[in-house]
Amino acid sequence: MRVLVQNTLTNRQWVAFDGQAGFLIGRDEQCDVRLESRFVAQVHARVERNDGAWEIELLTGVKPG
Amino acid sequence: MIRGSARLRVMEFVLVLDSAEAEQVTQKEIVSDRLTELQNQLHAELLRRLDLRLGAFSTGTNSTERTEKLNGVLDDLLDGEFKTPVFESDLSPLILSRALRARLMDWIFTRLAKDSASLPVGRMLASAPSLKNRSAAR
Repeated sequence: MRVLVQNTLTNRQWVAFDGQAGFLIGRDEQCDVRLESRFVAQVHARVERNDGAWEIELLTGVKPG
Repeated sequence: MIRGSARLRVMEFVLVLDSAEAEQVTQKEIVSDRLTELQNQLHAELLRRLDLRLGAFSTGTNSTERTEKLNGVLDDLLDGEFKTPVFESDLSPLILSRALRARLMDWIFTRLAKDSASLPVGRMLASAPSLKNRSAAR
């Protein structure tokens, strides 16, 4: 799976993840997709792919937008 | 659960998720990625040069002067280290087509804005030749 990120404020785009397994989104260094924003939690969400479907889980303390 | 490719918005970030099995990376996508990378490099270099010129944009400077200065920095970059990748590489046709499309969209929106400022909406629609032809055909 491949994740392209676009920052809509700066218009910058980059490929943030390109791998097989699921990935974590957040500010923390352990996250595969790092989003530098103080409004993003340290570990914000987990994305998995099962049977051809995306499963997106917002982690503890993160409110849906 | 979401199937196919997905777009996920997290604050100001938009994440486009592509599954590996659907991801037969085409030549077009590779070129597009290279163009994105080039844009990022140009953007980063532009910011770096603006940082080096702190004070170049004083509060007293009007917007026209600012635009000219910004264009000056961009011209320097495009005439220097970015000359080959922008004007003399295999990416050049794609850059040209995107630039022309952006110019065209600018022109259309400017034109529409002028027209809509001078005409009521109903009259503007009625005066559009393509719409006239369509209504005549009916």
